[in-house]
Order: sequence, then structure tokens, then C-alpha cells
Amino acid sequence: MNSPPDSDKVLDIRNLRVSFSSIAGATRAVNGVSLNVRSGEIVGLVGESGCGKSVTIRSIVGLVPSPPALFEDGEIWLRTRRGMTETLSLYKNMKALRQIRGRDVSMIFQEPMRSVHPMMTIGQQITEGILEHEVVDPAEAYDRTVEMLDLVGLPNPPAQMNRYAHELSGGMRQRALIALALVCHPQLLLADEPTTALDVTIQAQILELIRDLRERMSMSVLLITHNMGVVANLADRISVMYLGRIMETGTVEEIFKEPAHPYTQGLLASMPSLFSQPKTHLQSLRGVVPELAMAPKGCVFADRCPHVMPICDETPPVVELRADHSAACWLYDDVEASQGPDAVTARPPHGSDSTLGDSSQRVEVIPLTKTEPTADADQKKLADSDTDLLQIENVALHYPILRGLLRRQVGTVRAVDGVDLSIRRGETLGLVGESGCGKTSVGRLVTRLVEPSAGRIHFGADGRLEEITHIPQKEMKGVRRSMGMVFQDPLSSLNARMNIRNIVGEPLMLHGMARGSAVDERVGELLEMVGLRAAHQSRFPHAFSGGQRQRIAIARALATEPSFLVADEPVSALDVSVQAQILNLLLTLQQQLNLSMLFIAHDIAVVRHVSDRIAVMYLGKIVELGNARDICVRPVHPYTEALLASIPLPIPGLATLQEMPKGDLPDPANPPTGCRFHTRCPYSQPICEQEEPPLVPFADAVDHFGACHFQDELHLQGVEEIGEIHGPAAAAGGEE
Amino acid sequence: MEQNAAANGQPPLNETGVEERFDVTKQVSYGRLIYLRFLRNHAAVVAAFALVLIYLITLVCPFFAPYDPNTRFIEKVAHPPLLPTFIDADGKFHLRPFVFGTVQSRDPKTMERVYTEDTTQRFPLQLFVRGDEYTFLFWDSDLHLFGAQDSPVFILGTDTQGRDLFSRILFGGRISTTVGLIGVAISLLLGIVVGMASGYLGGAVDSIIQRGIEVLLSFPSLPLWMALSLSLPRHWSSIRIFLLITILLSIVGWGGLARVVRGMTLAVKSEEFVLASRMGGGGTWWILIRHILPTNLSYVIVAATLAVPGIILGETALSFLGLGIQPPMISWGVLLQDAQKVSFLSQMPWLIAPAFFIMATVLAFNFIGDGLRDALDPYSNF
Amino acid sequence: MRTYILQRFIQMIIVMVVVMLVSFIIVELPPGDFLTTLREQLSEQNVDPKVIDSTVEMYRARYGLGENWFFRFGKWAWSLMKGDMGYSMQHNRPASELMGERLSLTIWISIATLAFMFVVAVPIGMLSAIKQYSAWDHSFTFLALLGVSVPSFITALVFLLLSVTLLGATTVAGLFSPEYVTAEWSWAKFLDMLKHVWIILFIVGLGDTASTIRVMRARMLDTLGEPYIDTARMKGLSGAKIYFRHALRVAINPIISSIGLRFPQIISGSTIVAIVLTLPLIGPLLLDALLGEDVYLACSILVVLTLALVVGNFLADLALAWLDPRIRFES
Ligand SMILES: Nc1ncnc2c1ncn2[C@@H]1O[C@H](COP(=O)(O)OP(=O)(O)OP(=O)(O)O)[C@@H](O)[C@H]1O
Ligand code: SF4
Ligand code: SF4
Ligand SMILES: [Mg+2]
Repeated sequence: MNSPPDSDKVLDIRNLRVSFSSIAGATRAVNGVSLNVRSGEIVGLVGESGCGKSVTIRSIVGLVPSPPALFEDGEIWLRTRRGMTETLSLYKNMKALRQIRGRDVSMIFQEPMRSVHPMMTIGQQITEGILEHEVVDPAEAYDRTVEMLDLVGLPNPPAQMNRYAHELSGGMRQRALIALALVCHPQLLLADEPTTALDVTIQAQILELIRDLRERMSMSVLLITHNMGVVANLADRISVMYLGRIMETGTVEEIFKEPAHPYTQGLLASMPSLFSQPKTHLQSLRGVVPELAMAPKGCVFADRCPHVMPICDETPPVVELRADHSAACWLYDDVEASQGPDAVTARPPHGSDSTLGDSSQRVEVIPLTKTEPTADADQKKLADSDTDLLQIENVALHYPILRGLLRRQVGTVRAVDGVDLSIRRGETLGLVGESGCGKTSVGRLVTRLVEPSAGRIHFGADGRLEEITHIPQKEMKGVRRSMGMVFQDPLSSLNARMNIRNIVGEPLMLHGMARGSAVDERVGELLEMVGLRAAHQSRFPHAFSGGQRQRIAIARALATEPSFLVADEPVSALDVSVQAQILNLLLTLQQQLNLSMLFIAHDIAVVRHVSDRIAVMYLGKIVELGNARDICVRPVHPYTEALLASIPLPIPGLATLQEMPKGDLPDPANPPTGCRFHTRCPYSQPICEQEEPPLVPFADAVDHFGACHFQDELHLQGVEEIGEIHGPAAAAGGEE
Repeated sequence: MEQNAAANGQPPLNETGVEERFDVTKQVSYGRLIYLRFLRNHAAVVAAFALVLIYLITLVCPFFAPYDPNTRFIEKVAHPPLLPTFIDADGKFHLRPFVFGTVQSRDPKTMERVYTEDTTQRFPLQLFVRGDEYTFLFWDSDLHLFGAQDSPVFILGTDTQGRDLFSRILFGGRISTTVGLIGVAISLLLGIVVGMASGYLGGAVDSIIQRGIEVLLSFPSLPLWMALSLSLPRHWSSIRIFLLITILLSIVGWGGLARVVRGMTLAVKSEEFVLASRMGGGGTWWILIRHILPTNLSYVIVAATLAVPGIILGETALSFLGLGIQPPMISWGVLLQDAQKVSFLSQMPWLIAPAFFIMATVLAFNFIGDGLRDALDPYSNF
Repeated sequence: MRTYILQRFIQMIIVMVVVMLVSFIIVELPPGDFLTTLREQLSEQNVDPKVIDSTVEMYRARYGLGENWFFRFGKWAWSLMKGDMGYSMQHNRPASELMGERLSLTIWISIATLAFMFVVAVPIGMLSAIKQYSAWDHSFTFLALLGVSVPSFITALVFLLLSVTLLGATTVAGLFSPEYVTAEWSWAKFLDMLKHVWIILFIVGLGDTASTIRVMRARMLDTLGEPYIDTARMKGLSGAKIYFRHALRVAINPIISSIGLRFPQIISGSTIVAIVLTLPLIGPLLLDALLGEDVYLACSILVVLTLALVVGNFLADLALAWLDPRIRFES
């Protein structure tokens, strides 16, 4: 065990154990992780938050603060220019460790916004790295930096050299950080959630860049992510991590086509993909990731596993399913599993036919128990779906930009710039777009949490639309009784000083709908409706996990029995498995209560899953509006196409087929002339810079609008076409 | 961790689910969590006890002080501290502590007073002795915590006029510590009202208030207090002067608090729970009182705790310079005036004793403030 | 950058006007007619009644007494700007003459204290953060809390007590050795002052140094937790480079920007310390003026001190803008 690994491995982590000591006692964040990366390979490490991914990857280069960390066991072998080196033992020899950092192994981090030094120029920061490791004169370092900036695709590299962090967008910063990491040509790049903080289109660009640089610089990459879609098209092999342990390791094809471990199966099933049946329940894992200290003994996944057996009280063995595929689960252990009572039914026949691989050792994987879809959008007959509940006409929201002592107005941010929308009774309208495009503002405009700068808003809970654009706040209070709102951040949307009863009961008391013990009763009902216990209403928010808090927020939004719900990114702060639970809950409640919903999100796959119609927003304008299916199958606006193409789909080998949108979202205070998308549009023509395309019906479709000059000529790519090319089998892989 | 069976078609977790094993901190309120965290900081807890003791003793000072602060012992002018002891001249141990008698004489050369111990005279200390009369809250008494029959006890010596320094320190403490509390209360009121208005209303109101506070803070506080103290009419009664001084100190001190409150208000204003409350029908006042004030309060308490020392020190400094509390009213600063003269200090170094009481009080406030701040820190783990 | 400087400059001018206005109101606040007081005081000093009459008349004209307050404020501010700080009735001399050297010494000592504070506090705070929870950190954390709790006049008193009891001094250590006190400024006098001044710097600066240590430690800890420090570590930089080149320049920012708030504190401290130790600074003069109800002198001192602060604040802001690109490019 103490010998260096064979030379084609760039990184070999063996049985790593890291624990953290705190006043509450020690918790083991990494518990026997083994992992390796071979030359030229991209390995993905996937898992939900807090499962120890960052600690693992940071241990490689000694970036985990110790104390509080304690490295109990394990070896980390790294190929360096001096041969194979064990880095854990180098912790005491900082000098040797420093020589490795940046030269043999580099790292990029999750938050590009905060990872660039705010007071040094980009050039200074990158050349500093070269000068640290190599004896070169500054002029050469300068040239190499410029070259590197060019390689990572930053426009006008010499100019970038003198710029500061605050002058660059998030995507540009991540590019600069990649340049910084790779300038000394390391063999291994560690990437800790490099795209999580970025918009989808930018994420797609950065992933593309990593893929491209791997080839060009012939390096290996260890990529951490919580998003299965991100690794599907980038990684060669994947390890799935849960609560400090590796659950399953395999090649991308194996993991996606035949996930063996119940946790991997659950993760894949809970992702709303672009191929799922809209408005049906996603299969979600039950429960939430427990805190480390509360993890079950034995198999840490036992409390959420649908196949749990008595033997799972003991730590499961790592079973080699095939040459390059292993899982840590009792289901696949021949001897032990047969002792479990459930195992008789759960275990599939051994060595059955297989299309994949020909090894006789092959073990059949056991699928996650499947539940029938409980509802189908097409079956739902909305009797009153023709009447509108909400209409907004030409609504705008302009924020003045004030500067200086006298607070002079020096400009205007047009957060929302002339939007028309309507929502029918019982309908879900999805609103999708990148950050900063004005989605949240629309949600706040229709509820009058902000005052519109122009336009009109009509709302009618009882069948008659009435204008509410300028009615006084007192009257608005009455209107809001029929509206509810769920916010993005489950942490900040509940007041930490109030208990759940007062949080959920607040609207009841304010509207005089209940008092005293009647509030307790009603809050209890609401909590049970969202899947919590009524008895927990005396607890405080800090006692609940993110998903549970979001349930509480939903209960509060529904307290006054509204007919209209605004859900502003309700799942984007949640873990994948919990995200599915909340989406399921929203779908159920919507059907039970016949709610109309404005569902806002940046992820078009999520939006497609819950919405009847979708509005795509770009820089304060609606660029496309239509039936959820139509929009995804046959988008008419190039931006919609780009959004669809940027979604990292959990289908291995699926590379995007068309050109990605270039560059970043322009400054909303200074939007481009003509079509606002022309700076990034691959189909842009001269006319696009001058004339602004209106939102008009698309060809012969009744209910499909687009705002592109060429929408009738262009043939844009939707999802089902992609799906056909790569086969529906691939699409269903996660669920079958 | 329990699931909605209907919502995702899975059985709810059994009763021994994860949450039931959760530690107790999950069941308590936010305030109690802060309290528990505070208790872990031993220095702060000790300081809190010390502070309670200081306030208790100075509040009921007539009882704890052996004498009236104005009683003069003409025979015992500039008497050095005389500490109680258990062992007499013959080395014999006495269970009850006692003090020796002293005899005054004059240094033949410098003509300074010299007190020598007369070890033949023993005056045992007694608890609950009768002495100078006083009125405490409409209640007349002459009971004192300790004293000795037939001889005065000066545990911290006497001043130039033969008054017991310890008694005077306790009486002075009553004024000095009260100034701190009342002053902070006034600053707090101003700070909260102005800060919340500034933060919640924003815009021009905010700009003007902020510039105003900047101007206020750009004055050097002590010279400003000194100049302001000019406006106090000298012939006023000492209680009115006391109140005015307190107001004066807080007028200068509220700016910092207002900034803290404004900052918090701005931060809280953008929190989603405020929007959620508006969605639920909450108006401006409801949100201010029900959400913003309670959320700010803990931070404001910290800021206020840390502001008390400033005001106490301001009073002490002013009185020390003769611009604040005027005799016959006593404060720690007034007592230190005597120590300012080099000639006095060289002969009676014990006159500096009030300084240690000031430091102890201020230190206690700072320790508590620090402890509270750490306890509030959301990032500290429990 | 230029617009930023201009903005800050205009802001400074406005603050100056407000400061003068506030000071003026303070002067006007005390009850009693100024001229009556003046007359009384002069006659107490046995001045010739004719001279009294003419002096009173001169004041009436000079400050427009009897006019409305707005007019008086204008006159007063105008003469202040011309360097005329009024006339001390107590000393019967122009205020500017009285302040003279004391004022410049006060400002210089305050600046020196500020420098002392920086030189001592920044390294200590930085090291405490780097070696968090070490013995060094624990002891300085405690000492700093102690230092914050001891007001400068008590430090001065304790110092006084120690020099009296231990060294048997009968007079207090001043800024100069006795032979130089009244001497003209010379190189030797300056060197002599350097020998004495550090004690004063220590006494005046103790509290602010202590609180700066605390701020520096906290800021350094925050900064070291920032992701860009991880980026720097991953370049393979040594500890020293990370601490000095990357962390220090960010961590020190709030300390520079708080100069504007520290400086008034230091001036306050030096005022009272100078009174306790009878140093030839502005403090004793101010106290004298206040006790003697010499309003114009007192007010002039207050205004001049504050204006010096406002200018200092402005300079600190410029320094900050020069150091921090985020501010430099803001406008
Ligand atoms: N410095 C630290 N002190 C104490 N505990 C820590 C520290 N760093 C990490 N941990 C704990 O270790 C566990 C694993 O954390 P880690 O950051 O590796 O998770 P992760 O998988 O990267 O999660 P995320 O997706 O949220 O980034 C967590 O429970 C965390 O609280
Ligand atoms: S070991 Fe048991 S509990 Fe763990 S994943 Fe396998 S079947 Fe589920
Ligand atoms: S109008 Fe032109 S720029 Fe705009 S989306 Fe259509 S083709 Fe692209
Ligand atoms: Mg992480």
C-alpha cells in the first residue's frame, strides 16, 4: 500500500480520512475515499453539498486548514516533475508543497467573483505565478501571460493585463483564473465547482474551454460538481460521493446507462431533464442529506435508501461490478446480501443478458422502484382556463443610477422594459432567463412589491379583472390576500427570530383570518399539507434544513388560500434530491388547490417541467412566449435555442451541436441597440443592430410568439431533435 | 426529515428518523441560542457577574460604604490605607479581622503628616454596624455593612480633607455608572430612531442624516464636550448639571449607534423575509416593529454595551477637568481631580484608587460586549 | 479619479462650513451678553475705562455684535479664514498668538501618535491573525482589550504616579529637558524632544493602538479566509508573500479609512494628557479658556482642531483611493 502507483496515474488517493474537531466533537468529513486520475483523463467527483468533495480535493494540495482538520489516514500520490510524490507527508515541508502548487497541480475555485485579488491587476497576478516557479525575465513572463490570456479566450489580452477584478464579469474572471492556473503547464487541474456561480450560457462556455484546454495542454482534470449534467459531457470517469464516502465509481457510460448504487440512481432520477414528462412527479430520494454527525452507522445512505436491508447496518463492501465500475452497496455482495430478507426479491438474477460489456463477472444493476406518474398535464381539463387571472400590459421598471454628492441621476437600469404577459386560471407560466435579465423584478411587479415605472397590471381573483397598478397599499393588502410568494433563499426568507407558528401564521393574523389557538390549528394544517409535522410549529427556522425551510415558506405563501402563487427560483438554492421533492410538492399543491402560478427560474429544464407556458426573457424584454412543449421542441428565438443548448444534459457523449452565444450578458443600464441579443446572436444580421424586433406571432402558430427578425426563416434546434439523434434510450437512461 | 407521502409517493420516514436524534440546540429559540453561546465565554460571564456586583454595590452604596462621603475625620487627614489583618503584634491569630490604631505625627523636616501604627490598639471589624445616617429610597437607616467600634476603618485611606476614600468611591461610582446607563439609553433612543429612519426611508433623508453624522463624528469628542460644557449654567443644582452632562455626552455619542442601526436596517430591508411579510399584508410599521427592530436589537445591544464605556469615560474625563459634575456631587472623575496635582499624588499615591474602579467597570463592559458579539456571530459553530 | 477627488473636496468644504457653524452656535449658546462679560472682565483687570469703551466698541464693529446671527457668523467666519482667531480677553492677546506653537505641536504630536499606532498595531494585529490561538495571539488579544479599556488620562495619571513614587520626580516629564523649555527651536532642541516624546506617544496612543490591533486582527482573519488567498496559495507563493503582498493590502484598507475617526480620538487624548502632564500643547490652553470663560479663544481652538481633522480625513481618503483600484475607478 505504501508504494507509489503505476506511472499512468497522475493522482492516486488511497483511503483518505479527514475529520474536523469542534466543540461538539469530531466529525469525519472524508471517510476512506479512494480515487485516481490517469493521464489525460477528466474525472468527475459528484455529490450533494456538504458531502466532503471540497475537503477531498483541497487535501491534495494542503489547502484544508489544520487545525481544525485532522488527517487520520490515507495517502495521496501525485505525479510531479520530480516523480511520484506523496503530498500528505509533505504537509510538514511547506517548501516542497509550494513547489508543487501551481507547477504540477493547479486549482480553480467555485466563486470566480471572489477568487481574483481585488487590488492587483490580472497581469500582476498571473506573472507572479510564473516568476515564482521559473527563472525567467519579466518580459518573457509578460509575453507568456498575454499568450495564456489569449488561449483562454479573453478578448484583447494586452489590455486585460492592466485590468482589475471589478472590471471583469464572472465568466471573464473564471477565464482569467484558468489562465492563472495553467500558465506553468501543470499536469493536473483541480476544479472545484468552477461553473456553479455562473449563468448557464457562460457555464457552457467555460466547460467547453476546459474540454478544449485538456486536449491542447494534454493535462488531466479532476472536476467537482453537484450537477450530473455537467460531468456527463465532460468527464471520462465519474465518482459519486455521499457523506464522506465514494458510493460508486465508473466510466461515464456505465454510470449514466447503468447506475448501480441506489444513490446514483436517485440522483439521476431527480433531475428534471428536458425529456421528462412535464408536470409529472419526479422520482426523488426521500429525506435530506443528514448532518455528518447524524449519519447512519454502516451504510451512510441507509436512511434514504429504497432497498435498505438489515445488513446495511454494517459498512458495505466496495464491489467490483466490472473492470472499471464499482459500487459500495450490499445489494451487489453475493454472500452477505442473500442473508437479507428483502434481498430475495430485490436481487436480480445473476449474469443475465447484457448489451454492455461481455465480462462474465458482470452484475446486473437494480433499478430504483418506479412510481406511476400521478398526473398528466394533457389529461387535465381546465374548464375555466380561458379566463385570465392576471394581465400585465407594457409594464416597465426603471431604476435610476444615482451618483455623487447630489445624487444626480446619471443613467437608468431598465430592469423590465415593456413586458406584456397574462396568466390564465389554473395555469403555470414559466419565466426563464439568465441572471440580471429582470425575472425577479417581474415577479415583484405583479405583486406590487415594487412600483412599476410604466404600464398596467390587472388582477382578478374572483373572475373580474381589476386594475391594481396604482391602488393604495391599503387596498393592495386585500388583493395580496389572493396572492402568495415563495422566495429563492430559504435561509433569508424566514425571520430567524420568529418561530414557525408566527412565521406561517403572520398573514393569517394580519388579515384577521384567525386568532389565538385558531392560528395554531390552521398553521398545523398548513404544515401537514407541505409535508411537515404540525407539532413542529414551536420550533425556530434554524432547526430545519434548506428543503424543509422551503416547505415552510410554501406553507406561509398558501396560508391565506390564494389563487395565485409567485415562485421566484424556489429550488435553485437546494440540493438536487431535495429540489425534486419541492417541485413535486408544488405540482401536487397546484393541482389540489387549482393554483395559478408564475414560476421563475434560470434553468429551462426545471421551468419546462412545471409550466404550461413559458416566457423567455432577455435584458428586460420577453423574447419568446409559447406553449412549454413548443418552446423546447421548436424554439423560434436564437436566445431560447442557446438556453436549451447550454443546459448540461445528463446524456454522455452529447456535445452541443450549434454555436454557443458569445460573450457575456450586456450591461442592463446600457443595452445594445436594435435587437438586444445581437451582440451574442450567431445569426445576427446588419438590420438587427438598428431595428428592434417586436414580439409577434410565429408563422401559423396560434399561441407562440417570438421577437426575432428572422424567426420565420431560421430553423432553430429544439430538444426533441437532439434527443432523437442520440436515442431516447439515452434520455431515459436515468430512469429505466 | 419527514416526507409528504402524497407529494412524492414514498412512505414517510419512521419515527426514529434522523431528526429525533438531533441535538437540543435545534429545539430552542434564537435568543436562547445566543445566550447558550455567551455562557461558553467564561471571561464574559465573569465580567457579567462583576458588573452586576459593581452596579449592586454602587446602587446601595450608603449601606456598603462605612461612612457618609462627606464625613470628615479631622484627626485623620491624608491617612494611608489601613488594611484589616488577622495577626496581631504578638503573632497571635484572631478569627475576626481587625485594624490597628494609628498615631499622627509630623515629619520634623518636611512637616508632612506621618501616621504610625499603634500595634497595642486592636479594633476588630464588625458586620452590620450603626453609623452615619442615610436615606435610601425613602427609607431611613444607619446600618452599614462593616465598621469597627471606637475607631474608623479606612481601607483605601482618606483624602486631603479626611474623608474616607472607599466610601467616596462607592458614592462616586453611583453617579459615574448611572451616567453610562442613562447616556447610552438616550443615545440608543436617538440612534435607533434616526438609524432606522435613515435606513428604511433611504434616498435624500438618508443622505442628509449620514452627512450630518459624519460632521458630528469629525469633531474631536473631548474638546467638543469641553466646549459644550460651557453652556451649562454654573449656578444650577448639581442634579440638573448631572442630567445635562449626561444628555451632552449622549448627543455626541449617538452617531455611531445610528450608523450601526442604519447598516443593519439596510441589510435587513433587503432580506426576503421582509418582502414575505409585505406579501402577507404587513405595513411599514408592522415590519419595522415586528421584523426589523427585533433583528437589529441584538446587534444594537452589542453596540450599546460597547458604547457605555465611552460615556463613562467621557463623564470621568470632563469631571476630572472640572468641567463636568461639580462638587459636592461626587463622581469618579471628581475624585481623581485630587490626584492630578503632583504634590498630592506624591504624598498620597492612594488617591489614584478610583482609576482602578473605572478601569474595572470599563473592562467588564468591553468583555461582555465582546462576548455578546461572538455569541451573535452566525458563523461560530455551537 | 479626478471627479472623485473633486467630489471629496467639495464634500470637505461643506463639512468645514458646517463645523464652523456648529462651533459658532456653541459659542453663542452660553447665556449672558458677550459685551457685558467683556466689560466686566476688563474692569476686573483694572483697565482704563476709556480703553474699555474703545475695546468694546471695536468688538461691536468687528463681530457685528447686535446684528442678526447670520451676519455675525459671516463676519466671524471671514475673519477666521483670514487667520484672525479672535481675541483672548483673559490673556489680552490675539488668540492666534496664544495658540501659535502649541497648535502646530499638537498636530504634529497627533500625527506622530497616528504613525506610532500604525507601526505598532499593524504588525501585532497581523501576527495575531496569522498565529491565531497561539500564546502570542491570546496575550495580545487580552492586552488589547485591556488597552481599549484604559482611558489616556488614567494612563497619564499612572505614569505620573510611577514617576513620582519610583523615580522621585517632583516635576513632570514634559516634552523637553528643563534647559530647552524656553529655548528657541534648534536641532538640539528637536533631538531633545525626540527623547521625551515617545512616552507621550505611548500614553496618548495606547487606546487607539489597542483598538487598531483588534481591528487589524479581525480584518486579517477575514481576508485570509477569502478565496483569492486560496488562489494565491495555489500559485505556490510563500507565506510571507501571501501575507504581505496579497492579504495585507486588503486588510489594512479599513484601518486607513478609519483614520478620519481615529484622528479626533487622538486629538481628544492628547488634549487631556497634555493637561495632566502640563505639556505645551493646545489642551491646557483650551481648559484655561473654558475655565476662564474665554469663549472666542475656546471656540477658535475647537474650530482649528476640527478643520485640521477634516483636512486629514480628506488626505486619508485620497490615500485610500490611490491604494484601492475599486475606489479609484468608481466614478
Ligand atoms: N474548516 C472546517 N472546519 C470544520 N468543518 C469543516 C471545515 N471544512 C469543511 N468542514 C465540514 O466538512 C464537511 C464536508 O465539507 P465540504 O466542503 O468538503 O463539502 P462539499 O461536498 O464540497 O460541499 P459543497 O457542495 O457545499 O461545496 C462538511 O460537513 C463541512 O461542514
Ligand atoms: S448498502 Fe444497503 S442502504 Fe446502502 S445503498 Fe446499498 S442497499 Fe441501500
Ligand atoms: S433579431 Fe437578429 S440578433 Fe436578434 S435574435 Fe434575431 S437574428 Fe439574432
Ligand atoms: Mg465544495
